Amino acid sequence: MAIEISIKPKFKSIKVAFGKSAKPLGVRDDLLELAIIARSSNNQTLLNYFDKLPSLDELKREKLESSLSQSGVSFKKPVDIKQKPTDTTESKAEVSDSTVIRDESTNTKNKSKNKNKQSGE
Amino acid sequence: MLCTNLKPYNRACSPTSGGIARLWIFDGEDFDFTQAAEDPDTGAQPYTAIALRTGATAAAGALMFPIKFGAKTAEYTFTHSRNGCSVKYEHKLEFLLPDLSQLITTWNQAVDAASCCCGVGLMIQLNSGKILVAGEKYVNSDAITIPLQMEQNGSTGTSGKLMEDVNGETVIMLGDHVRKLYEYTGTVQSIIDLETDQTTP
Repeated sequence: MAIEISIKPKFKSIKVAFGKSAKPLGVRDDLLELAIIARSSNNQTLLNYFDKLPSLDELKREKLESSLSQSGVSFKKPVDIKQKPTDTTESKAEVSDSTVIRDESTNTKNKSKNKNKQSGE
Repeated sequence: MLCTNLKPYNRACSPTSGGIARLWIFDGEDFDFTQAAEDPDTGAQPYTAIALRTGATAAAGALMFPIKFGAKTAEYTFTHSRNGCSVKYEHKLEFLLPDLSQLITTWNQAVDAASCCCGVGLMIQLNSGKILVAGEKYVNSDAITIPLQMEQNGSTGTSGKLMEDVNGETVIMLGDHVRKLYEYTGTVQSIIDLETDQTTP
């Protein structure tokens, strides 16, 4: 986790029901969720449990990045599609885990143009 | 828009089920419920966390107390009424406690004392999976403006005449309020974890 979330030592045995359990805060592995709940509601009881607590925007960003990395999605710099193809044979459009679509074949480009015409675009 | 702001009821079509799966009773003074700010489009938000209030400790009895009612005997109902601009929701929870005994007697004594002094809180898990909250008194660390006070009123019991007759008490909890019940969106396990003061995972 890039951001830091921690519970004050004196509250680590406190039980708070949220999400999947009400285990003591010191053993929870989903404190990010409680942090978001605390910031969203501005509940002073919850806010007081935290030693370090980033802003709501930072927490939501962290949650999004965490979800994306868990689903195997990462962002890479897109390939320049204007590059000349090195292979004259028809190549298939690839969708990698990084969701970058590389289309190096003019044939594939023409086929996509025809498809657009058929869909009425 | 010109007179009032209405909302759609656009529930996604999916099966549901009736009946009540679990019940818990609690002291509304012990627990603080967390609720996010009201959404301008969807309205009031459900509760997302339940924490002990300052001074309340699980070891001293600040717990969610399960009610082991007779299977398929529990029902939650409400009745809406309006008099001009005054609106009332009469909330009612009914369930059967089997086996007249010292345990039922002492349970009733505790509930009667609570009904008189401070009302009781109830967590109601429906068979649909939704968990409704009645009798909460603190939200986001502050006392709520108008709490719902649930009280035992009108319970009846019987020993039955024949061996196969019901032997037990039909408990009725009633309370009037200005709105319907809010949901709690945590899991059932999160409430079960508040049944004891155990802190080891």
